[in-house]
Amino acid sequence: MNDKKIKKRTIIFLTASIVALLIFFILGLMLGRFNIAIDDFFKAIFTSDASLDTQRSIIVNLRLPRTIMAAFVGMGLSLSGLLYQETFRNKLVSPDLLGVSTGASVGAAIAIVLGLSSAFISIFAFLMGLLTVFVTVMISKLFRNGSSTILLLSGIIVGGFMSAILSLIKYMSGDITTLASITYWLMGSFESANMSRDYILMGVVVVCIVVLLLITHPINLVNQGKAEAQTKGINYNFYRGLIIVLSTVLTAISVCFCGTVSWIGLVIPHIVRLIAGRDAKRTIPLCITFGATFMIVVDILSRTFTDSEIPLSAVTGLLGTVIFVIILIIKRRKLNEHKDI
Amino acid sequence: MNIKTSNLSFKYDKKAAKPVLNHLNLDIKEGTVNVLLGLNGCGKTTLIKLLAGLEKPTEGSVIYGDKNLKDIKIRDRAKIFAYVPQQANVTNDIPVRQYLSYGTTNTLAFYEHPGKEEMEKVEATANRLGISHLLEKNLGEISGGELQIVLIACALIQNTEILLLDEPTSALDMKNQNLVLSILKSVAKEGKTIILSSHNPNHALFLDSNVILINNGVVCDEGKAKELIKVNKLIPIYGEHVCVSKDLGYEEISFK
Amino acid sequence: MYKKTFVPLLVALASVGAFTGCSNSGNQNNQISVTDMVGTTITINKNPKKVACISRTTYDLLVAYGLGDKIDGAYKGTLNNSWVPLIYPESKNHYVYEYNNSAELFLSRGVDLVLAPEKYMADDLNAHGVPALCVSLYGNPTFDSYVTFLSQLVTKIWDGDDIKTKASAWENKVNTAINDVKTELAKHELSKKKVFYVRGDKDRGVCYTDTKGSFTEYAYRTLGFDFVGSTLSTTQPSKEEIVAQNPDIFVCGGQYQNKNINILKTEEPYINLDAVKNNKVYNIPIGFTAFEQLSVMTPIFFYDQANKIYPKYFDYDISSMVKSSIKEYFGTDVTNDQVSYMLNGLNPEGGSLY
Repeated sequence: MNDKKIKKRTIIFLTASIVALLIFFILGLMLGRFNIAIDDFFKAIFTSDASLDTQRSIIVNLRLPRTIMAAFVGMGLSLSGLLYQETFRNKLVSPDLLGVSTGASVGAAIAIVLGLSSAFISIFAFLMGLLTVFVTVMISKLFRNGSSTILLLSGIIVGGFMSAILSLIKYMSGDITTLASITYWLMGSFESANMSRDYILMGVVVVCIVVLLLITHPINLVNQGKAEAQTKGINYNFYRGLIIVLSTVLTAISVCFCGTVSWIGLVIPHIVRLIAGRDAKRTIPLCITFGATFMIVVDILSRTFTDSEIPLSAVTGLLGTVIFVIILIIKRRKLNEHKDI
Repeated sequence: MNIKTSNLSFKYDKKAAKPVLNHLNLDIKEGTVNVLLGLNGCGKTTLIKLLAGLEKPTEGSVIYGDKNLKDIKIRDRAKIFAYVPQQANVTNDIPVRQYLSYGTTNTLAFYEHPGKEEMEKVEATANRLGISHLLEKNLGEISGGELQIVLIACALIQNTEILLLDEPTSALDMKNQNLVLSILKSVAKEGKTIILSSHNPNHALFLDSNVILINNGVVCDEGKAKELIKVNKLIPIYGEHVCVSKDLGYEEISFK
Repeated sequence: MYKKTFVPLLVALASVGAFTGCSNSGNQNNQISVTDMVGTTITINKNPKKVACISRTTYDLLVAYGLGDKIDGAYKGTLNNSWVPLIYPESKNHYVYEYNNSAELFLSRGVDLVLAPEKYMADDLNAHGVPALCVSLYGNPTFDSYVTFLSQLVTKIWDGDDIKTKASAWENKVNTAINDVKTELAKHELSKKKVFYVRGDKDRGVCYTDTKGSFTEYAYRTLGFDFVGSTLSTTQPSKEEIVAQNPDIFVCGGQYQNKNINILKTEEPYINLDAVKNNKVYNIPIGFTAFEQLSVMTPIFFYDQANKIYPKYFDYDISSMVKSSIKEYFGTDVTNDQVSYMLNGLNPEGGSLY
């Protein structure tokens, strides 16, 4: 397709998704289990009417922090999905590839079994997530072979080991309520969102995004593989390492605050590539806005219709599969068009 | 810039008994065309990779001008030589234009993207090689011959003194082999140094190049194609069925 | 060679089978057919000597009825309460069970009856030759007809006039307490109000309650309230759901009660709720068990909550009731300080229970 057409389309979709993001962000503040009439909503925000204290408290203390968290987790997970897929040149790869989510789950499960507070659950999850990826990289070094396949393979090995540890912890937790807590955490929730957590999340995600936007051209070349990147003047090992570190941090920081959320890291990059091709300077901005919007929608769905919250992975799974099937149908049509030519 | 290798050895596995390249010495003069000939698995591709810095020598060194390759920064290497990979290693779902723009990386800072000036370079080179009509197509949608020309175009866009090509004709039919070799011939006239590996001795004759015959990881002979490509020199490598035919009015290597 | 050892073995096995078969038919008087709380009927030996109390409501009742020496062990959640060894020092001899235990563990310990909290557990154990009865924490559909179920079950399984006397005395007390409270409340025109029960036996914050079918639901319905949990599909509603429900009062029980009361009174969004603003947040005492759990303290639970929620109509002397009940059921003297710690949800030293 014509480069100018893709550029135009990218700009259109980017603008549209920014508008959608703003609309859903406000909807995220308006909708929920507690009914707030539209005029009450605006009064609660723009006046200090004491009769709306409860409404104001719900908007400011419950919905605002979790909507912000949803937005940034959405950005983080879809970006890291995109980066992993591009770096490993495999479109079925998700952010969990190098074991970061399973590692984080083990960390969280340990903290839950020890009966630690939710802040410690997050810290344990974050550190174990990073540690797991570190171990994965170390194991791949044992092979003295820098290829991505070896890294993928050791990711599978370490991921499998971590799942086994997780099963063991679940088994040893014994107590049915502890087990339920672990399972619930694994399915993801924004329930623990508050502003101080949001500040940490926002800080990390924004720094990662700034760095990523600066290195979009090297990212493109890294996607071409070592031989191409290196002979075109890009330090392949350095940039691949940097990309893996950034996407791992993005996943770990998201997972540690809200548990594991599946599908988003797989689906959003696919949609984005359909629109903008494989140029990181276009796919990264689109991933940011699409991921944030998708996650806010998921959060609204997860907390509005039932008296307790539906786990995020259940919603992303349902929504994600439907979207994925639609993508496949569109792609099939495209493939058939090519055949006709 | 001259290219030298001194005592260059390489093993894929440190414990392997037999090295792929065994204390290999080369001296390639600026502005020459050089064809690496030898059997499959004799170390041609490995040598190209070592020259391109994609593998590290187990022993010995590669020297560009007066500098050891390992002391040259990756970014600066891309200004000295361009490398044309084998077709199989190229991703196929980006447009030709985007792929060609990657050739301008050596003039950009890490945070920069190819801009107007760079895209003009891309279009000029595409025009010159007659592939302008392919610019908006994906790499996966064009033919093998077209893809090979795109890969060479990308290397030319790098605007380097030296071109390294790994089997540029191996996947092509006769017509496209001729097209690619003609392009290389015209590039050589500009004074570029070209090193390519090939499995066909006739290509060396066509290019009127230097030939480096490699056997068992060492250079077993080198010289001008017309002098070197003789039956008695080729039989030890390619076997006794090799012959020179003059049926078409010029020398051609064939087999009985 | 194998045949040689195999045949005598077979004979031995057959004779053991025949022998036990005989002894079964010979001791039919020692067996009893009982139906548990979920309707499963099984035949067990009378007067079991090693009982595993996995269901939380069973331990204190058996101890209070003088059957402490028939207990092999209890669920760790029950035993890990610092009041238990103080009120009943012999609890130290009791084995600490997990929630899910294998049939082999019970068999190896020679347990002859398991009181399990869930049907699947009891079914599984029975299938593996461990006699088990389900004593659920939930009635179907509500707990109304199950308040004295366990007490009556105990009198069926164990012989002894003493046990029967104790049981009927306790049942009378429960009925009296319920009647006392109901009769008094009937005299007044009271509008139906909503109560939200914060469970607090786990550190799950305010968003943790109990559902329809629980004893707590029955208790607060009896005390004239709509129990918020009975309208929910889950024990863990979201914060927004609680705010949307806007209950008239909060009652906090369990070992984390003081933590939860503090959350309600200091954290957004709860501080804006009517119940919190009107200071209608009450605690539930905790002693040998949490009082809101069906136990020997059940009558006092009704009096205590009635006192707190309707101070205009009720003024029972809870402290002396607690003191005398503990003396009566467990034979232990507790000090006035200790009683006040129980009433405030604290541990025997006046510290927090978590």
